[in-house]
Parts: sequence; structure tokens; C-alpha cells
Amino acid sequence: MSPSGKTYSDRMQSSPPSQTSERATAYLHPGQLLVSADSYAVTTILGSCVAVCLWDPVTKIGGINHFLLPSFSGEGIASPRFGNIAIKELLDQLAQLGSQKHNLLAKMFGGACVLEAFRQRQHHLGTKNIEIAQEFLKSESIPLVGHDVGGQRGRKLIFHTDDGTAWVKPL
Amino acid sequence: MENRDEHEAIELVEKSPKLSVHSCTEMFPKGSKIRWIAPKFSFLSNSFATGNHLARGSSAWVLCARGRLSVHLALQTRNYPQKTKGEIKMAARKILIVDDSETMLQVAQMMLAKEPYDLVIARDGAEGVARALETNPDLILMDVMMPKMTGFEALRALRSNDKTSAVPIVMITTKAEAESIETGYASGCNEYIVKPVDSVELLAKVRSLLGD
Repeated sequence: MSPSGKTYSDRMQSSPPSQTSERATAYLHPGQLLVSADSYAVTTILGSCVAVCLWDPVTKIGGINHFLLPSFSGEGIASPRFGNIAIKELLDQLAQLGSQKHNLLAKMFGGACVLEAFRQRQHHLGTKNIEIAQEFLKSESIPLVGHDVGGQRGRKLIFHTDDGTAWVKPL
Repeated sequence: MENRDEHEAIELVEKSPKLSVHSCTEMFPKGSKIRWIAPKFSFLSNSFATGNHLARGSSAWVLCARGRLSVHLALQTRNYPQKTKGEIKMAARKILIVDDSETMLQVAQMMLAKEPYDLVIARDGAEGVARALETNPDLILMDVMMPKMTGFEALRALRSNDKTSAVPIVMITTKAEAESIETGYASGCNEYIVKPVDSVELLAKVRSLLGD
């Protein structure tokens, strides 16, 4: 998959999702994650950050993270601000709610390189964030069924934890 | 050994082949070949390549004999246009920090202090716009809620001016403001950071936006 490419799966919508009264809303800040067996419409804004959404079609449980930096290198505090920790934490919390890893489907968003001058650079922060997520998902054998990554614009993402639907608006 | 040029001096750390930059006002680009001008002791090799930008506080490894050495060495870069001594200078990247909080200004300055950046300060949005037009920064860190002119208003003013329309701007928001950062992107911000600012995150975003 090209970091700058765009592929929409059948579970990604191009129009805003309708809000139902039974679906709670949440805003996900950078460095946070949300996993729930309840129905949530989770909104987050991504620049070079990446959000990985995992959804279990068997249990209808979903979760999303929003990480800023590719991997924890020992500097600072290990937290879900780092991709390797954020994705592992997402998997762990889904497992705690009864989700089986082999059932999970993944979607990934963000990783923009917002400056034209650096678009061709291979090691921009956004690119690194995309790469760490790709590697992690591959190592866990979780299929990536949809993504909208790279490019030069920020994104507004809404993810539904109950049906795995994602809606992305370029900013 | 005589320190031949205080702007280009490094100090050899005792008992170690690791060299750390003692005093340096310029940045040597990654991959620069550096050689000693006048080494007075034996090196296995008299040149080395920097693995990263070499500036004050950074370090590099060379092949040299171990020993108790504490000297200042002058160096020059092979790939650099050599003018007269002291004139080889690459201007440090300039970062404009716009925030009405004295504490936040100090924190940001402290986080960026070890990096080879020139920091310029403004204490409200209007001053931020004026300082940006006056100093041509390479990057702007902008608070949102400020007197006289908010960060979003300043952002729009900077984007509408040809002189500053392409400067990377990072909005520094509170959690509540982060939810309206969509407005910031629509106005032309490049990134946002949520307070409390984390130094690792700040440096990573600054370096990435500066192309380091």
C-alpha cells in the first residue's frame, strides 16, 4: 500500500454518518483511545497523527486510537501517544471485552504531510506513523480493510464502534 | 592545542573517541565530511562524517586513539563553501512562539533550548502577526486563546499575506479548543498540539515540519 494512496473500502462512507439516538458521541484527543461494546460515534481530527480503528464483526465491538508519534524509544513516558503502544493497548482492551484477534478488521487514517515541500520525503512524521501501523497490523495478521492515509491535508474522522463504519472529511 | 576558531571548535571527551561539540554557531548538514585542520595527535582516520546535524550539544564518533585528551580542535567541513574564518555560517532556523502565557513561553523555550533554533517571542495574536512579517520565521507555534487577536484570527491573517502564507503553523490548543481545531485546519494550520505540551511530541513535530 502506498502511504499517499487512497483506497476506500465498502465500509467507508463519503457522506456524514447519521446520528441515531442510541449512539453516544465522543471526541478522541491525540494520545487517547476508546474501546467499547456500546455504540459510539467517535470523532477525531488528524494531521500527521494516525488513527487505527479495529472492529470485530462477530461481537460488534470496536475501538479506535489516535497516536502522534511512531514508536516509544524510551524517552519520556510510554503512553498511547506512541503508535506501538497505542495499537497494542487497543488490541488488549478489545481482548478484555471478549474480542478474538483473528476476527478483527482494521482501518487506518491520517499520516498527512501537510507541507508541499516535504511531500516527497520518505521519513516525514506522518509517513513514519503510517509505517508503524502497517507493520504492527501485519505482524498481528489483522487485515487492513480500509484506509485513507498520507496526502497533504488534515482529516476529520468519525468512527462507529458498533458497525465499524468510518467517515472521513478532508480539512 | 590552540582554539583556532571559537565558532568551529569541538572538544575531545576524555578517555573516549566520542567527540562532543563544545562551541558551534553553525549547523553542519547531515553527511558532511569533517576533517581536522591541525591534529597534534594520532588518529586512525583524520576524517569522519556526521550522522546528523552537528551543532552545539550534539556529538559524533571518530576513529582515534584512546587517551586522556582534553583539547579544543578547530575543524572545517569539506563540503562547505570555505570563506574566511568565522564567515561560514548557516543561519539557524527561526521559530516564532506566540502565546500570552509567560509560563507556556518559558516551557516552549526550555523544550527547544537544546536545538539549534533561534526563538522569537510574541505575546498576543496581533504581535505574532507583526513579528512574523518582521522576522520571517521558518515555523510558528501559535496559541489559540489570546488577547487582541486569537490564534485562529492570526492564522487567517498570516495565510492571507504572501510573505507568510507558506510558513508552517502549529496551533497549540487546550483540549476544549482541540475540538474546534477543524476551524484551524480550515484556516490553514498545519498541525496542532494539545496542552500540556509534551517535549517529545513538540520536537518531533517541529523537526518534521522543518524537514530535519
